[in-house]
Amino acid sequence: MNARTRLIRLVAMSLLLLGAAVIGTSCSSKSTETASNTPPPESTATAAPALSDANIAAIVLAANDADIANGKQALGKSKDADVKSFAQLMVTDHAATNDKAKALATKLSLTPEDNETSNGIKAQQDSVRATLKDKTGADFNKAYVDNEVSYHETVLGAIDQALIPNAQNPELKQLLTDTRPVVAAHLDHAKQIQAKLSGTAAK
Amino acid sequence: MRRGGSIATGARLRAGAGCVWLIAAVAVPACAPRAPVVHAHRIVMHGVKFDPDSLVLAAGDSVTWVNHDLVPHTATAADGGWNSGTIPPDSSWSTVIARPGPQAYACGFHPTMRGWIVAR
Repeated sequence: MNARTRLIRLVAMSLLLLGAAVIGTSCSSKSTETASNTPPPESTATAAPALSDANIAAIVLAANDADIANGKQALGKSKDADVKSFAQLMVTDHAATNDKAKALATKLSLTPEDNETSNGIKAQQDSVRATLKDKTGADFNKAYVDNEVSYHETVLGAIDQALIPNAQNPELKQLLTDTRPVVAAHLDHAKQIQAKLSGTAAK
Repeated sequence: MRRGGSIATGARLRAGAGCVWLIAAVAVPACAPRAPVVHAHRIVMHGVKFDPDSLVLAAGDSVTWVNHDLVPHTATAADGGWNSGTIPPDSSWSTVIARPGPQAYACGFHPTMRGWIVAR
């Protein structure tokens, strides 16, 4: 992919994000180390699309479910120890986060309401897995980890710019706030594996 | 009676001497150096971090890791000296840090989650 195509995809992804149609796919990741652990600025709230708490709950569940499915696919296809370990972590952590989200939805009598964003996440990641299905070995490992980097970057952006600013219920907002460092840690972890696979990891 | 009394007196004296020795034996440790005070320390796992991420303590102190995060973690010494295994959310694990010196540790699941313990 040349730089122009990459830029177009990045811009398209940003627009999708702002329009609440989340999830870019194969854009190569750029290092955003400094952004990973920085709390979102308060001022972004006014620019975010309007999402109800029911919409946000559906997005959280869809985002977790998609990465659980990605992880299960990697566990079945990869033989790389780092990739398998990361994939298992994604299955475990996103399942744990989903359990908390479902418990909170039950507590709040909040019925998740599918929307353009949650449906977009499902469709996009289904498409990614369909593409990865035909890949094997190092090709699969690279494609899986590249997608995990871009996916977590996008989800982190969605949390900061759309989900936290729009959440009305304080407990839902807190759940999203607590989820953010987990997603940021996953992103850093995925970047470490990405660098290792490409041979650019720090010695 | 007198003879018996003498025996009884002697027995009392021997018993009394024994008590002196016993008291002395009990008293001696009181003069010995005091046993070190053992402290219990607490490290919270939250936001995929250890809080505090570095802790100075005395060898023999205990540490409890409490997981307040959404996801499972471990506390695993880099040298393999101790390992909590999985600590689920809302659970905890404790150990005694017996060996003096600095000890790096990390979460076995999240490699970016690291901490230090320095035992004096």
